[in-house]
Amino acid sequence: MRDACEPRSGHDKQRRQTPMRILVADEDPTRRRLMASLIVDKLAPAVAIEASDVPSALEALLTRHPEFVFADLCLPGHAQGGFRLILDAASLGVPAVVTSGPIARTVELRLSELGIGWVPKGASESALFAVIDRALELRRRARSDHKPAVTESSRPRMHTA
Amino acid sequence: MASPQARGNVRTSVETASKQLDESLVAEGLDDELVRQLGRLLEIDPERRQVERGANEHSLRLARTHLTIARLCFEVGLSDRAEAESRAALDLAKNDEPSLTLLAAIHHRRGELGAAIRLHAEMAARKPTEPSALAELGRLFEASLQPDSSTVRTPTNATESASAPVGMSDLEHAFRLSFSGNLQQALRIVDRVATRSRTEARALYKLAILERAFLLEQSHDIRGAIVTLERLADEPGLASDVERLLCLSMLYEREGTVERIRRALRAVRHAYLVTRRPTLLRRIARLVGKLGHAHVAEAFEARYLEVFRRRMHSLTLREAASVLRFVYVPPEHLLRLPFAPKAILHLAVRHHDRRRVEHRRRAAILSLWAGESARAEALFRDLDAEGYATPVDLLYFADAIEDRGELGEALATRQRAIAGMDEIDAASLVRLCGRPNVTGDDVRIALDNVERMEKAQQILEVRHEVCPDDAATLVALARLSEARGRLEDAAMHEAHAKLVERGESVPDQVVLAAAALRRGGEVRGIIHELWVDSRRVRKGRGGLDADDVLGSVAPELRTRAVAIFHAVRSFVRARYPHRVVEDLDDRRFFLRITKDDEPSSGESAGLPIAVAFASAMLGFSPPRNMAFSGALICDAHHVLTIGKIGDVDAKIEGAYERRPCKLVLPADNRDDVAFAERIPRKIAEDTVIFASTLDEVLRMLLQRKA
Repeated sequence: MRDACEPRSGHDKQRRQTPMRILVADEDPTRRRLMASLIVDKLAPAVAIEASDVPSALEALLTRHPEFVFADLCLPGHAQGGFRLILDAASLGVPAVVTSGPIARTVELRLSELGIGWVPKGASESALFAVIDRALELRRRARSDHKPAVTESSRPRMHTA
Repeated sequence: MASPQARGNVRTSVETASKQLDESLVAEGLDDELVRQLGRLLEIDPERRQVERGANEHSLRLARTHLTIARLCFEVGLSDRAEAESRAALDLAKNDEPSLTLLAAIHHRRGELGAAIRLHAEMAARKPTEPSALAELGRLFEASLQPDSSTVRTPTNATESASAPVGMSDLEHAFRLSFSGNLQQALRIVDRVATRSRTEARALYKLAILERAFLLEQSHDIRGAIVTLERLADEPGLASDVERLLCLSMLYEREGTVERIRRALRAVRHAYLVTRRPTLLRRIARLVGKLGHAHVAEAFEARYLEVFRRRMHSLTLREAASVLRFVYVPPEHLLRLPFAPKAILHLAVRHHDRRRVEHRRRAAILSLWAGESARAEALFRDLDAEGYATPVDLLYFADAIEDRGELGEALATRQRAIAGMDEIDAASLVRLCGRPNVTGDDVRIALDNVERMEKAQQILEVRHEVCPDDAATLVALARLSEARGRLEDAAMHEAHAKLVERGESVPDQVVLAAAALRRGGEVRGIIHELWVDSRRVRKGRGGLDADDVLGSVAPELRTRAVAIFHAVRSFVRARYPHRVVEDLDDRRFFLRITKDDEPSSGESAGLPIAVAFASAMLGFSPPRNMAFSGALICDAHHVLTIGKIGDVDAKIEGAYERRPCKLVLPADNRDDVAFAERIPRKIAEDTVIFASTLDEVLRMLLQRKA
């Protein structure tokens, strides 16, 4: 069975049957739509889920299960801005790319530690795609290294809580 | 326009804020925010009761006090008073769920199972019925396990298309196909139902997708199941669906990576915020533990334990201390409360030096409870001298005096207490009349007139009706009859009390069996009795036939009981030849299974039936505070093992509700008990005893006897 959560890089997109879900979070609607259409074209077949602030982006992260997150660092709705979203995405194993103005060296290092791509605002399309490919590739490698854990009980049960 | 200095200040503050943000980002771990959010969940009371608009605040407070007194009386075994107080709480707050569940628990504990089940059914009928796809799926699942079952379903939504019931039978058929090993065909059927119902019957569509995920999970395609449920989020209105998220959380947990566990935790947190279902606290504890945050996991486990205990009518030491001034609880009953004397004394000392009468009264009662009767006596004496002592205080005071050996003074104080009571209660009457130095004249002095004696008689008769095994109540009835000049009645009660004391009023081989009762998708644990009786017959005519299994018993259980009898007879001969009763082959045995209005069936009755037979064959009485549940498997004439059973969580809950009661379960169910979300770990540890063979169980019972 294929795993729809597993992101694919551009070259195997023709093998993909179900569209990949991408969360694009940016306050500016024009930029958000532009970025969404760019990334959807790049990762086709893909659908974009859009969010204009941190709370709605976090909710989409929980309930819509995006496989890739693209966010602006200066997102409104939370004291930590887009940091909150990408930290949450990283904690859930969702590859993410963030865009912003110049950032401190320590932050850049931390982002790379977390496997989060960073692209400065105003960067070229090819630079953006290179960062996205790198982020997806990193996640794909991390996933292929992982072995599923042994579960404590294999007893068949309904999922009643 | 801002000055250059002001602009500089703004820039500096923005840079500072940005730097702080950067530092916080660099320092923040991936779990920090999650743990912060989870910490807030601990502050939510999942069982917060909605106060009805216009409800009288004073009556509600009074109802809560009655309920706390009822819980205290239930816990200490004064079930007549517990029932009266629960009914008083219900009079003040109609249909109050905690009062109704307590009333059901009181009936359960007394063995009045029909009344308990009726109350639960009434409560279930009154609850708003939320359509639940998982419950529906559970019903289909169970129906598909039954041979030749036909699905009967009333559509939950009238607007749903008429094709829905057809889809339901298809889904049930898919379950059957999957169990028979034809997963691909089962998936094809489920997909067909999903495609047909996607636009017209949304509920059926969701059900089909949930079943698809379940079937994939059963075939160990966890990722496939996850994808199925994640795709369901694309359907309008189903992204935040709690049932979908809960199913996903189970699958994420089964995958077991750190990221998946975090996803599961977030989903469960969301579900808890929406539903406030307390069992989710336990799931959160398990998931947080898997992430390595042991302290947070313990905090959630403790929170659920607290909620569980409250739901099971336990009360805290503070609650007990706050209502003991309203109700007299004899010292031997107080000892049944699960609090350490050190904790009780600590609370007593905290109230000791206060000036308010209430605090001094509380200190006195707590001191007596903790065994400091000299200190209690001094405190009560002061209260009495100042004119603040109530009749309940005087009863406790009398106990403190009696501890010193002053039986006469204790009797006089008790007489004063009962004479001053507006409403006499059974516990104080039993305490007065049940003391060795008390005569009919003493009782007459305390109750001073005929009406009060008549009332006391009624109260004691009610107590005897609900506690027929209580010899002290019968002695009190004898003294009271003597006081009323009814010497014949007094002699009868006296004789009855002696028989009860000798244990001749109950059969010797009564065994408690833990059973699960299904009602409308809800599973409840009940503890019921079964017993074995035997009589001598002509030589060689002993044994047990199917006709000797009495009660409303399903044919398969009747046959199994006969098989168990023969297996146990051979087993005890092989393992305990020195203990077997001499005339075993010349005895005819009868097995009586109770709860005649419900047909008993299932394999889990095997262990209690075997224990009952073994107790009759080896001549011992099984403990009255221990229930059994397990399938009996005969491997050889001298090897009887105990096999796995279902519904362990409901059974443990039932055993805990009937406390004090231990529950013997098969060792094979160890994982299920650890995984049972309804049961806190501590309750399972305190209640459950695991055994893998009948020999282990019998050795434990015989050692207890020794």
